[in-house]
Amino acid sequence: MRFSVTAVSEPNQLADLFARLSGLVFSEQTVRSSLQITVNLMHEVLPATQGAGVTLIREGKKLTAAHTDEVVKRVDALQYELDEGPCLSAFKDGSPYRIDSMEMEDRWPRWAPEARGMGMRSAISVPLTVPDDRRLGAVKAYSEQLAAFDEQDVRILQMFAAQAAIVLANVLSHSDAAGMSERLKSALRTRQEIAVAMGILMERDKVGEDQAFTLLRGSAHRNNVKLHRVASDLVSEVANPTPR
Amino acid sequence: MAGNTDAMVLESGRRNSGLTVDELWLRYFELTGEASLLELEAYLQGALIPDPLQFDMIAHALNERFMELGHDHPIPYREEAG
Repeated sequence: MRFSVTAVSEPNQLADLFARLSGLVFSEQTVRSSLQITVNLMHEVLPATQGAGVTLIREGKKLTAAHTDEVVKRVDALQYELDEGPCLSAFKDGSPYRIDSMEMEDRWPRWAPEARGMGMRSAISVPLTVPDDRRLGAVKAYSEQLAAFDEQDVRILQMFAAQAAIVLANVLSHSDAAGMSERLKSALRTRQEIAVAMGILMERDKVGEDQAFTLLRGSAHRNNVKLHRVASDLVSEVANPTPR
Repeated sequence: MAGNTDAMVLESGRRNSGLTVDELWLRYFELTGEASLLELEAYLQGALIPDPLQFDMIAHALNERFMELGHDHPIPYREEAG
């Protein structure tokens, strides 16, 4: 049986989607802009990624709020229409999903062959969850290569999702009616890179957030550079390791 | 309002750095700081006390500004650097 899905089509519905998040009303443009920064950065940091996007889901309504290319939109629209797919599963189960081979994929039997037909051969999707554990949707990346993503990439995507959620919870008070200033967009990008670097350190060195921050600022001080520089070098090194 | 030590250190640091509260918030936000602008103002006035990590992020935002001005890191951190 097919369930009908109401696509979010009116501008204010996206604002309503987040109305209760912080007691404030978001403008659609603000939400889209902040998420777009996230997906663009994801696209750079995960080298095999052909496209990335963010799905927002609330009360049965589903929307691709940010995307790097049209294929992401089409593949997402297909998930919403078929009510089947890794992003919907990630949202429903609160777990990450990884597809190494779309041809061999049997978990989403109607969606996977169509996604393959659009050129998608591997993908990852993780839930988008705010700090109080409410799930807002899912964040995804896909590739035209087979087995393009490994477990570390899943963890990196989870860090992006965590950042996207915090950004959504905080961004409105600093945007104006027309949308976000360039300064804020740049700050968002810097923040997300530093957050990813902290996540990498926490994972690698098995330390907490406080210690990860201390490590980054210690390194920045010793090398007489900004902390952002240390963070972005670390992220680049992890995403594109230098062959030994 | 009677100041607490954190507030005094951060607020006098901010004034010496030449940053407005808005500018400080943006730099702190870039460092993954979690407090809103209103909360940062409360920290600086002593109405709220930041946890050690948030304190260090504000301190580092200030210290990076001091580096831009050619100084070292005058604001001490709560966590010892490794």
